[in-house]
Amino acid sequence: MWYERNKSLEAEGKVKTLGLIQEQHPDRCRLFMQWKQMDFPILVDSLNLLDVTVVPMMVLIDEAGVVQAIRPDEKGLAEFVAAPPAAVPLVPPPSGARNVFDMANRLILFGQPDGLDRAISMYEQQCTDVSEDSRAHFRLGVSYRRRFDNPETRRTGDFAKSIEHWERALALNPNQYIWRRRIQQYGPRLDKPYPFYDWVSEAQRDIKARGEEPVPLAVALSGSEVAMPERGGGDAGEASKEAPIEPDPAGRIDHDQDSLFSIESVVVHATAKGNRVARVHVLLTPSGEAGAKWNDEAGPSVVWIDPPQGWRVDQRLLALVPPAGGSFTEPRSVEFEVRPIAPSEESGKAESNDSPVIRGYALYHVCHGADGVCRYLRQDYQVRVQSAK
Amino acid sequence: MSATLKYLVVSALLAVLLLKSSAVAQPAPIESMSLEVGRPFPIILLPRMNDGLPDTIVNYRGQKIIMHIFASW
Repeated sequence: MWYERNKSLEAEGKVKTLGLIQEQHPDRCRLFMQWKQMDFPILVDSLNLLDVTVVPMMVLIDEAGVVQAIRPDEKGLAEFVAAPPAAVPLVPPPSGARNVFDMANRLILFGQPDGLDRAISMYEQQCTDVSEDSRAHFRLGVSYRRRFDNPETRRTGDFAKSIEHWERALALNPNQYIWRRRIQQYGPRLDKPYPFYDWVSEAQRDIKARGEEPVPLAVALSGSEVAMPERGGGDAGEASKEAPIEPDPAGRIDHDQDSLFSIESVVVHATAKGNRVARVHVLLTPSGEAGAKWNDEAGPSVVWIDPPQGWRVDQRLLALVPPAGGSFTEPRSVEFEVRPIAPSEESGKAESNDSPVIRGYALYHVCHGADGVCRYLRQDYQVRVQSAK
Repeated sequence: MSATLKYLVVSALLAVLLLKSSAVAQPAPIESMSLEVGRPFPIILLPRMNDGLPDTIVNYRGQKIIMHIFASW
């Protein structure tokens, strides 16, 4: 294994091993390293400032900081290790133009939450000024997702904007593998090259069995991040084969007139051209202003989905599952996939338009206010699933 | 060269200069910092995974580095 070989080279004082990752959530890699019992410094380049287009990749850098090989073979690696040391200049060599976004990048990578807002403004401006700047779109997407992931800073629409800018970036540069993976992480199963983080539960189990405490994950894994890829196109996947019973077909449950919960939806399209499957994330957030909280004791809160004619979803009734250790004020979400019905599946329902509108509603148990009034409420939503460009 | 011709030439030159300067003032796409053999590894501050503190390749000068670019997914 490469790690063992590097370790012995390192023990002999011949090399230093470094890692570099582009992941949005580096704590998942920390967990991975703990699980695999690997230990070397890793730099986190979530913005992909280094324009990496493919992973995994090995890069050899000499004593002077100059890249000597990219993806070397065994012979190239051996020659690099055996080469006489390069002279180290007193001053580090220049390494490319600095630019006005250095400040924005530092605000994103190291700054406080208000710094993130400033960085988003700078990248928004760049995307307006140079609408075809694919790097700016990608980084803006990363920034929005970062703001979304912090319950203290998230704003309605942040996740949707991150997907919008990532999709725009990839449309401008379809060969950027890292960007494609970032969308696929949240996208439909048919478009996934592999399950992204399905190893996490096994890792946590193994680590606990060793008597260690697993690295905690700052952001819980979403359904799409652990979903298995779908092969062959069009199976019902996670869906139950039994048709669910609609919970409120006549609309008799009281509507949430006080906006105790907000609902937002995010549509993630397949990155492959011509693939019309999309994954929809529906997020419900209790209103802090109204003092709203989930009331899990009263029963499950659910989301009902009505696909339009010519389209189907893999599940029509989904539970809003409480997270482990939740505070009852956290946002919760469900995910489902929507796809056009193939002509052979149901005659007469095969004419799907390019921009279907999914309608549905959420039913939730909520307590709110100083006196803790608890109610069961309904809120309708609709999602327009535009075809990916 | 007649005065009219001179005027036209100077005007044309000014127009070209003006166009050039306005082109320079235009916002440009962000430049690539991609890795290339024979060139220095870009010196940028990135957070260390374990503690979030800033780190850069400069801190490892004087050592041969094997850098693994990977993902846990």
